[in-house]
Amino acid sequence: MEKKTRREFLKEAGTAALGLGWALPLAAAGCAPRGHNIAGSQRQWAMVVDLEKIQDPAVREAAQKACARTHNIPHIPDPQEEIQWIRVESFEHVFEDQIHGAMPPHELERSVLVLCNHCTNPPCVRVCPTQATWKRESDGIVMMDMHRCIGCRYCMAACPYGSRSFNWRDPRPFIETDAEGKFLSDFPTRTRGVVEKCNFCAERLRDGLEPACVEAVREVPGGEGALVFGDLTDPHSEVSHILRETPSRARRVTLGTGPNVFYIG
Amino acid sequence: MGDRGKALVGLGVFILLVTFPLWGRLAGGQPVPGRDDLVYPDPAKATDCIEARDWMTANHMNLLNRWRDDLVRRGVTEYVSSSGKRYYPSLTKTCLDCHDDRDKFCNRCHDYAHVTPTCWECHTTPGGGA
Repeated sequence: MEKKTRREFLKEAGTAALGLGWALPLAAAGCAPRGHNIAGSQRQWAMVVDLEKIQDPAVREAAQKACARTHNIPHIPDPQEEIQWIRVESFEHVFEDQIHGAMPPHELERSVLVLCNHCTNPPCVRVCPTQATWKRESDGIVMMDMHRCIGCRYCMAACPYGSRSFNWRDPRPFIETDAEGKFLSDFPTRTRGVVEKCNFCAERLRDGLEPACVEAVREVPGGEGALVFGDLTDPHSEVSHILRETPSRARRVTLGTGPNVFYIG
Repeated sequence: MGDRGKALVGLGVFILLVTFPLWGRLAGGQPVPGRDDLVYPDPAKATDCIEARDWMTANHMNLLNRWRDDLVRRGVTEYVSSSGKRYYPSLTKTCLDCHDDRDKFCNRCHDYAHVTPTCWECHTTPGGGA
């Protein structure tokens, strides 16, 4: 074999190193899991919404009312300033990327309950400058720390689902109270200038309870199973079972956010 | 020079008045404002605070900040005091469970110290009181 000069050897070694430097990140990207990657969290709470069952207005109202009372959510009539953790929207608007011209109007007009999707890859978390919102590793909930929120509303701009609401004013005068003027829950109210959203009832989960909406719809006749809550990483959970057995959809999956609220029926 | 007596009396009165803050407290035995007038929890409910009373007076705000970060961000649901007792780290559920008169405890001292913590803008008293 021809003997190389020191200069030639260094040139070739440098070229090879450069080649590796390019190739490694590409190889890593190729190997990385795509789409619904729930490996980041030890658990991932998820919800399955049965569209058939929530066509009953009583079921939807039970869910919304339970949510509002559990979290002291104000009722502000002005749609510009309203605070919503769990909203009702038309099928047409919720699944705007999945509708086509041949769908019958009654299909498009169906009511859908929408809430924070507690995404696997939440864009709101990525943009928050103060880490006031973050993806909890223990169970995948996208949490909010109201103490840290500075009200910049980047998260609202980043969320493709409109799941977040901003407190334009002191919400307290708009919160339901009992006869003695006390709030219905000890859950801290919010204050002017912070963003809020569904927290999957993290405070109830801590006490071993289900989310308030899930519990409430079960009480309504015909509402049993309208909302099902469970751990997506557990193959034996009810949500995993339903999603294996039943055709399902989720909102705007092509964005890669990995929503964890699913719709059947 | 006939005014010497008057001047001395005037000077005496002046000194008395100026030094009133020094001897007034001793003579009158007035309570120290902002402390003794606080309403503490019913001894039947609790006799000890989470930590020593003096320490709590000086550091309760730091403890609450730590609890806030522990519970909200780190998911720690227990605080072990230096005496080994375990507490749930919550302002409303733990502190206010004993200190049930916010106006005559928290607010009275905060007013005296002229501090305006923002806790109550969001947190309620047990039972949903604003």
